[in-house]
Amino acid sequence: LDFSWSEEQLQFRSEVIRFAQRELTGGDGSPEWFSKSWKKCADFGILGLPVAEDYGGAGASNLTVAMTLEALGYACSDNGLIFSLNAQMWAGQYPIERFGTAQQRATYLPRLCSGDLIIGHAMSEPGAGSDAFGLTTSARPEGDGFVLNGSKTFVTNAPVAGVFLVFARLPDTQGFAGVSAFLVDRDTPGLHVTRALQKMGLKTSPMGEVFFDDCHVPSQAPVGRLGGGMAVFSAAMERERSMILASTIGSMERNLERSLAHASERRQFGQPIGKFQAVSHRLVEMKLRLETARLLLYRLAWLIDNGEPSGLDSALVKVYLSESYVASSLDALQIHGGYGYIEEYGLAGEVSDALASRLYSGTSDIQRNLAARYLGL
Amino acid sequence: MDVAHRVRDFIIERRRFAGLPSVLSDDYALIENEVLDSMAIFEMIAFLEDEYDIRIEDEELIPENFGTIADISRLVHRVMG
Repeated sequence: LDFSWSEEQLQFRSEVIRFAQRELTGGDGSPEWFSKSWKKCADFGILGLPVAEDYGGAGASNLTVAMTLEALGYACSDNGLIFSLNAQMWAGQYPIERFGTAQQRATYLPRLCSGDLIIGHAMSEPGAGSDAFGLTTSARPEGDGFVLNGSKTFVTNAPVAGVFLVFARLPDTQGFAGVSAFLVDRDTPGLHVTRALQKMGLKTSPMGEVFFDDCHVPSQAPVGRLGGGMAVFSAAMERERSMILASTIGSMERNLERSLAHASERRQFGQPIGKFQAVSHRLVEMKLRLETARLLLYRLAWLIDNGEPSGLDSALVKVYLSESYVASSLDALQIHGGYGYIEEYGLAGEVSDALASRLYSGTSDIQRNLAARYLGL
Repeated sequence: MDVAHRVRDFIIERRRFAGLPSVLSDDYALIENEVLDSMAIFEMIAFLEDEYDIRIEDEELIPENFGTIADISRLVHRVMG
């Protein structure tokens, strides 16, 4: 294992922080702010970072991407924006680059990297969440293509997406067999994006529902082999659960610095509250979680970059980072006392955002189930 | 012990196959009969990778490779080269 950064990587990290502090702070949470910020991130190169240069990306290593997202999370407190960026990078761009045809890669990836096109990953259904392959959306072969019928929910970026990666079931199949992935443009007749879902946290990340009503897609729409949807989904989810929480390392560091400053400045009973062990121990726990999470993430990125098996580690990273993020966000709020509960301080929002990390990309319970399977249990 | 035999033992012992072992022929439909679901596949893959020192890529996660014990056996032999 070698996590030492090159001068180039460290310089890039500094550039990311300066960019985020200059361009991504002070937002009003509006859809207009989201669109502008999205384009700025694309222009800076965030979206295309892991994508091959042939398709408008930079072809960066996973370690570099992890470091970049960590820096973004450190300097940008708009966790919703970062979540949406991650959703596109790992659940949209990655499966297209890995499983898509040459035509699909050439058609979609450059526009996704440039920020001119946004993609939504449409897998979850009202009756198929953790049991993702229990989906019922159907794909019936007809003529020179397929007809999709069904509904999807919790589709991140749906209200602003121009294309969707849709998972649907071929006739007379069950379980994961027969599930296939399709790229469906938003303007395809029969595709309807309905109400935007209002969430407890990650409020700036648009989310919605998508319906398919006799939606005809061409024979070129499948991504990967017909019936190979599990391969596409599993690969995308493994990469997503590996990388989607990299930014939370930065968030945890930002909140730790802020809490340390508060514990030094805030005086009660004649001394800084950081002198009380109840507070200082909490800060030490935050530091310990931060550094442990960081090492777990870097190790995983290194494993992926070196072609080593990473299925177990990705599940462990997802569990540990999300639960550390929640615990440390709660600690930060507690250290700030009543001020932490005031919205304008931003710490309450951080807790709401953090709670989502234990749910999306596979709940903590599912990650533990997955890890247990890898351990042969 | 051949691959099919080891896979059958794995399903009986680790997956706690509820039916009679004699039912579990090489051509028994593992997916349709819910012996393997999307989570159990990962356990199977971990077992195969460990047992045969191989790497099964995500691209191999298709029903044709896991539909029966015979399919799994063919997959292992192909990956082993």
